[in-house]
Amino acid sequence: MKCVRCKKQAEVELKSHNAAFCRDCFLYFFENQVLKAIKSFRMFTKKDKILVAVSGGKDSLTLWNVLLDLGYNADGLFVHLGIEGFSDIAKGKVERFAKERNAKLIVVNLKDEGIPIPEVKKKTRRVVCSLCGQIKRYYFNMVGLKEGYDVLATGHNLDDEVSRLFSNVLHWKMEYLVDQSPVLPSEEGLLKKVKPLCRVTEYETSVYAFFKGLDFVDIECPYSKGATFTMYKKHLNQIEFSSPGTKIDFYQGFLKNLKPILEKREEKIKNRCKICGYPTFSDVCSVCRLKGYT
Amino acid sequence: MTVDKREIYSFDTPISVGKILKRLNFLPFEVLVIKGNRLLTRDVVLRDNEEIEIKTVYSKG
Ligand SMILES: [Zn+2]
Ligand SMILES: [Zn+2]
Repeated sequence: MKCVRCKKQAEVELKSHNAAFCRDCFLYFFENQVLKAIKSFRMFTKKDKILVAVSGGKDSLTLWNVLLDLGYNADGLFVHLGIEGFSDIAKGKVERFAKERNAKLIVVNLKDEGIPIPEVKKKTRRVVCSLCGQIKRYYFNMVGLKEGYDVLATGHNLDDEVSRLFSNVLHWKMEYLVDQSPVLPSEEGLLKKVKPLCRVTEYETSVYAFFKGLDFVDIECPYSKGATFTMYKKHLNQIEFSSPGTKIDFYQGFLKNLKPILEKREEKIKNRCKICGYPTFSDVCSVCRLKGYT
Repeated sequence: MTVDKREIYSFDTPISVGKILKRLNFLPFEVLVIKGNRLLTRDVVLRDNEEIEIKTVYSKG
C-alpha cells in the first residue's frame, strides 16, 4: 500500500478517510485533524492558557504532546488517586513526560485532600469509577480556575464520544445528550472545557503515540470493572468496518442536527455549593460531602 | 492489577497481515501490527520466519 500524499510505503490505512499514509504524512494528517477541531469549535488560541488533564494514559499524553508540538501554551494537571500499584506508576510517566518536554505539571494528591480513592471506595456503595470521575473533574475545574487557566482540555477521542453518544441515544438520556459536546463554554464556577481529539479515533491516537514513542500507562486501574463503553465500541467498530466513516458521520451529524435543538431546552444548574462554589443541584456538592461537610 | 497477557501464534507463510487479523478475529483498526519500529498495513505479506507483534488499541486507564 502506498501513501496517498507522497507515494512512499504506507504504514497506516484509514478507510474512513479513504487514505493510506506513511509516517510523516500520517503525523501531518493527525495534527491537522486536531487543528481542525480546535479551530472549527473555537476551542482556544495561542494566547490562551490551557490546562491539560493528564492521567498518564495514551490519550491524555497524546493530547499534551500534540498541543505542545503545535505551539500551544499547555500545562498538565495530574490527580494522584492514591491507588496502590497504579497511581505512582502513572505519576512517574507523567512526570517524565513533563520533564522531557520541559512543560509545567501540577499534581493534586487526593491523600492530601483527605479523599484518596481507596477510602472513598470504603465509604460508598456506588461504583467507585463514577465517583472517581466526578472527583477528578472537580479538581480539574477548581485548579484550573484557581491558577488562572482559560480552558481545560481532556483527551477524549472520537471513539469515546461516539460510544457515549450511542449509549445516550439508545437509552435516551436527554440530560447527558444536552451536555455532550467538544466544547462546554465557561459559566460561573465552571471552567471552559474542550476535547481537541474529538475528530481522531482510538486507532489514530494509538498510531500517533506509537510513532512519537510516547511512554504511557498500559495497565488497567485495579478498580475498573471493564470500561463501560467497551461493548458499544466493539459494536460500533463492526459497523465502521462494513461502512467506513459511519462513526464520524454519526457524531458530526449529532452536533449539526440534534444538538442545536437540544440546547434550546437546556436547563442550567443555578445552585452553587455553599462550601466551595462548585455548581450542584443540592446545597453541598458531592466532593465536599465526601470530605464530611453537610 | 491486570498485566497484559501475551500469546504467541504461528501461521504458515506466505500470509498477509490482513489474513492473520481475520483469523485472530481482529478488525484492522483495533490493533497495531508492529514489525521492528514500523507499522504494517493489511496488504503486507509475511514470508519465511518473519515475526510481528499485534497490540490492541483500547485505552485501559
Ligand atoms: Zn507520505
Ligand atoms: Zn463543594
